[in-house]
Amino acid sequence: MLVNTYSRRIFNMSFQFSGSYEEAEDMTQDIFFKLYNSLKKFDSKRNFTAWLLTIAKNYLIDEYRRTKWEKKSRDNFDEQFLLSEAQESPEEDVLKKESRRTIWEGLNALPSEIRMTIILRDIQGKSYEEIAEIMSLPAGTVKSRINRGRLQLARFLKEKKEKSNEV
Amino acid sequence: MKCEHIEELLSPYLEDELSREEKRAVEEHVKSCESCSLLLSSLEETTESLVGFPELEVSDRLLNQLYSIPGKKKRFSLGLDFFLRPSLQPILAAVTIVLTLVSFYFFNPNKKSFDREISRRLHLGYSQVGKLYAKAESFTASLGEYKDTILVSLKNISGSRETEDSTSDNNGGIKWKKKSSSPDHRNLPLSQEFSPSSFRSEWVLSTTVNP
Repeated sequence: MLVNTYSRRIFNMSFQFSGSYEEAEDMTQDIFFKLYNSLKKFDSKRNFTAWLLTIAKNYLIDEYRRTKWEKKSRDNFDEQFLLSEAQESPEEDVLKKESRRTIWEGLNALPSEIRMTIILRDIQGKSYEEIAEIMSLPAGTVKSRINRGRLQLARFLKEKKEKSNEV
Repeated sequence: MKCEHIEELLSPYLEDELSREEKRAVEEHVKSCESCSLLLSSLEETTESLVGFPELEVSDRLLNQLYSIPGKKKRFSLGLDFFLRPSLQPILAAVTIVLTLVSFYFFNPNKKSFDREISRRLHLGYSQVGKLYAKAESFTASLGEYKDTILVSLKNISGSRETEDSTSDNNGGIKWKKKSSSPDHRNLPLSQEFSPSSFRSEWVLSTTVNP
């Protein structure tokens, strides 16, 4: 039941955070293991999805901090997954792929907490209130983090464009 | 407005969270500033790319592994749950400390000298206790000798406290008056009330001329 409902969401969150398919699979297993261990502690007054995503968020950020010096392969996003939907033309495919790779690089350069808020807001489409509950932060802080993260990503993209224009 | 201030407003501008004045200020600035205009278009592209980030399907292999987790957890937890109870943690900590000390004793390369030191300390302790015991015996014996004297003096003190009287001697008008220096106990603080000095009494000689 839990697996059917949440596996896809957790797996995608792990993938978006880590950028590696295999790593995301391992992380999803670990998160579910943690979830089963913590089920007894769940407060029924809380929103279960938000609680589960908080567990996932804590695990992903801790894991990132623990292994950030070990995993240099994190910079290389699994490109075969960058395009899942069919595009209109091969040129458009290339452009979109390039843009997403750049965005991924920028996302990877963000501090882990800001990256997580950007993933939750812009990729998963969560509301500020939901993110505030998942991140255990005030909604105002979430907003300012998202603004800061987006601006950093935009600057990154702008610099890349300017460099490619120079070339 | 400066570019720095406008940059901070770009993301809320895209989310349509700005007031009418702020919105107008951003639009006017972007028209005249190429850098901010480029940043705004990059920001739009960023949010669009993120929104369209592909969502992946979970593989059957991963699903099977996820389904098998509760069984794995049960087997694993059967052995550990009992020992990992919070109530057992102080006992586990104490056992760890004891085992560390015991291992320190048994695996110490200077075990013999360690043993000698322990036995020396033990003997020293025994002799100290013996000395104390002997002192206590001699003290009780000396108390026995002076027992009667102490009892009499204690009785005298308690008797003299009860009455504050004066005894007169008619010989030549000389009067012996007992002057108690004990203060009024009701007005004394608790710490002073029962101090030995407060019960001290003395006999004073006062002379009066008989008519």
